[in-house]
Amino acid sequence: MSVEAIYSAARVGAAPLVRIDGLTVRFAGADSPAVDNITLTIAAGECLALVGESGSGKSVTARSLVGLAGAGAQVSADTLEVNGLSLLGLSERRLERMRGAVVGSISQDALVSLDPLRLIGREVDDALRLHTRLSPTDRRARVLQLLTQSGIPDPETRVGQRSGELSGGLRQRVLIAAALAAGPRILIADEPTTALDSQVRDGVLRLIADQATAGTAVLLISHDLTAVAAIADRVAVMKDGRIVEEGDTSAVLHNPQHPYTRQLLAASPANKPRHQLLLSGPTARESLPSTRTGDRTASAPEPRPALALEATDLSVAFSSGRDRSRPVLQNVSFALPVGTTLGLVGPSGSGKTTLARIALGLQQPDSGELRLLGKPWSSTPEKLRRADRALIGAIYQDPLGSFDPRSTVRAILADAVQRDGASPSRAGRTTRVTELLDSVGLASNIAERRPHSLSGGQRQRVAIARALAAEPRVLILDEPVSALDVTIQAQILDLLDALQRDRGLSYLFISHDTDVIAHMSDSVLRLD
Amino acid sequence: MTIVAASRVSPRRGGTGVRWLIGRLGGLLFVLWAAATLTFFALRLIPGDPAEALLGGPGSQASDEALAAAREEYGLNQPLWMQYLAQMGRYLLLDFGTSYSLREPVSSVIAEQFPGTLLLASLALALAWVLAITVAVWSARSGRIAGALGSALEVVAVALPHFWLATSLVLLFSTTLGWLPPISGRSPSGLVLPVITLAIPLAGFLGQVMRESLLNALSSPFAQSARTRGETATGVIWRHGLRHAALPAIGLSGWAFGTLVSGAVVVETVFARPGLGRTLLSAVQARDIPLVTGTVLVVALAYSLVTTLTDVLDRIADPRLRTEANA
Repeated sequence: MSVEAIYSAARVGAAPLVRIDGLTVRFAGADSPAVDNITLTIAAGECLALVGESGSGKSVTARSLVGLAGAGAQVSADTLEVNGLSLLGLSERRLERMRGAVVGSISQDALVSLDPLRLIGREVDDALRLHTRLSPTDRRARVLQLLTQSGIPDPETRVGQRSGELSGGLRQRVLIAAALAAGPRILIADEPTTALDSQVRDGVLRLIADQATAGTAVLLISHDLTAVAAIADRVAVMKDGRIVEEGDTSAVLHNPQHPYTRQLLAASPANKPRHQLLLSGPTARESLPSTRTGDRTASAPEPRPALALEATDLSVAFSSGRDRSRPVLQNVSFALPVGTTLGLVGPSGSGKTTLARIALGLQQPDSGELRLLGKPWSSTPEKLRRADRALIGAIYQDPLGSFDPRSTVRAILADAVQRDGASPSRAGRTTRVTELLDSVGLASNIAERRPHSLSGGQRQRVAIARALAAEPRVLILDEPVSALDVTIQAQILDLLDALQRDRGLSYLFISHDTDVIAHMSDSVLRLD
Repeated sequence: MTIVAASRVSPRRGGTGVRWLIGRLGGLLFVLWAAATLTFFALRLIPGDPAEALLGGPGSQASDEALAAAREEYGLNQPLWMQYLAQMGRYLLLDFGTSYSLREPVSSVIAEQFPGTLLLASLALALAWVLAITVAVWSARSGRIAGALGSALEVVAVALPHFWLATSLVLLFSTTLGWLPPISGRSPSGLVLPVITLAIPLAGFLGQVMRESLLNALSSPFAQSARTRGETATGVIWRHGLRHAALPAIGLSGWAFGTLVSGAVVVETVFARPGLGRTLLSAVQARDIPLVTGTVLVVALAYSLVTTLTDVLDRIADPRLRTEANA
């Protein structure tokens, strides 16, 4: 071997597989660049995590690495290289040859990233068909092998199924198999664990970590700091298109230098004891309601039942198709003491929603009983139950769908107040709306806006205010913060905690995020 | 309890093929009965004496005796409900009666006229699909201006009335250019203009639906995901987009077939083309009750069969309809 060859081999081994220098991405019509002059490298066998909140430019950075920054994006950089290949000025054809072959991508939303009309086998086969010269028989064998490697049991059956027949975790594993099919040296995983419950999440993360161990350069994009801590070697924190801090995972997570990193870490509910405020400082105070002193003493004398919800042996079965019944809940019993939170966890399909519907009186159990505030509830006829419906309310993941888009926030809340029947006069309603907005930490000027012009956090606050309008004693919180960024999530969690303490509310808190559940719950019910 | 719980289970149940088929058959019989009943009473509502129509219309100056004899022969002097029951009884025995105006059994008139109309409608439907896919794919591939142009084309196409389109095409291709015959006989070249006339408005309609769902599919995460595996823009359209685009259009094709038959009434008349549409028009004008009812029944039957066919195709194209939705 010539000296020169040794030299170049050594250089290839040492050179990072991903080199980004001075990357700036602008979108037509935007004031500031989505990605602003960032510099990153990822070596073979290394996992770099890019963390930050939505809109910080993480995903745009990742998409720029495969030349898919989007329509109207202007990408400029001093260096933008994958595996020694510069992407600057590369033709669409050559980019297509690179995608999937050199850089594999696992996309953001596992549940909808597979074509519902196409067979799983075909989706995994795509990269092989496009980038290899294997015969169809060899490709089929390889697809089965890839599915097995990605931890999918019974791959022979799975290749002939479609995404609708697979659970969320299996879909994500299929996407990983599809991304790895042509043996790319670089893997981009953009929020690979959103919408997956915790057990599934760990498996998927391990699979990605294995790729790094095997010598792939991994770019992990996540807002989930627990995930990052588990598998990343280095972390880069992004805010407003810039990297504000970068370093070894343990250094960044345990000894953060930049205030924004500290804020992100503080906002994470992981390992935070119950009732500890996640956010502190003036911004946090502002978003919390003014405390209602005196209220408690006023309402104290009336005797209160000890249990907000009490379930005994609840069972529900769905009759599916031809008279076969599928048990959804089997002999579920629990007790939710007044003023506390019961966390409800379990994989999708385990009956969390069914349980919530029974609690809301929207569905009857086949057997067993649910009592609300010491009185019979699930067994009460609807006519008698209606009077007490105001005692229990619900808040869901996506409030937007339950708001009339043409109504203002004031109209939405006034409607809820009116239904309550407590304040018939117009002036009384206005006062009540202002009170409600204040109770969820929103300024009263928001009342004239429409739901779609609000941020995700503001919408969720309006949803909470609406639920509070009827003065409920129990709230069902169904994934209330799952669609929110960590700091917004922290604000909402702090708000829910404050409302619980002020008003003695009882919560049934449904979430797939174990950190959130651990932080918010006094006890946890797991459904399987 | 059952209402709430049942709605949680997939409402479109797979069901066995046989049960599904029996259900469809029942629906089909209901449609035929409803069509026969509506036509029977609707025709009685037209002012004038059916016996007169029977003898050649108001101009025939038939004598009172002749009218009475005709009423007696065709049972027109019986109460309406008896006439209705007798009519339904004859239909059950597949006896569609004899056309007043053509003096021929209705079944043989339809057997003679139907194939031509069926061919015309099928070709028009096929051409409409080809045009719609072409416009949809072209406008999805070539950016915003093409999209706006495609959309405008579709709106114009939908708005074109058949009679205007037919006349314009005849003026252009027959009178001016002399390429194609203005009268559509039995020759293949005579089919071209009628087929185009029927296909263009329909293509506009199908195109609107297809382009929308094509663009939705192309901007969905799974299409993006395919792009990151190295699929070309064209590849994504063929392997992912078109199937999603076809789904709503398949469903609409059953309905489209119905409009094509009513379109055939105009087109066959303008192009002087023999067919069911033209037969129907003259039968209505002549108040030829047996022929009108027979034609309506055949069209209703064809329409129901095509709708069933599109449902089957839907289930083939969209596997989600076959398996129960996963919880």
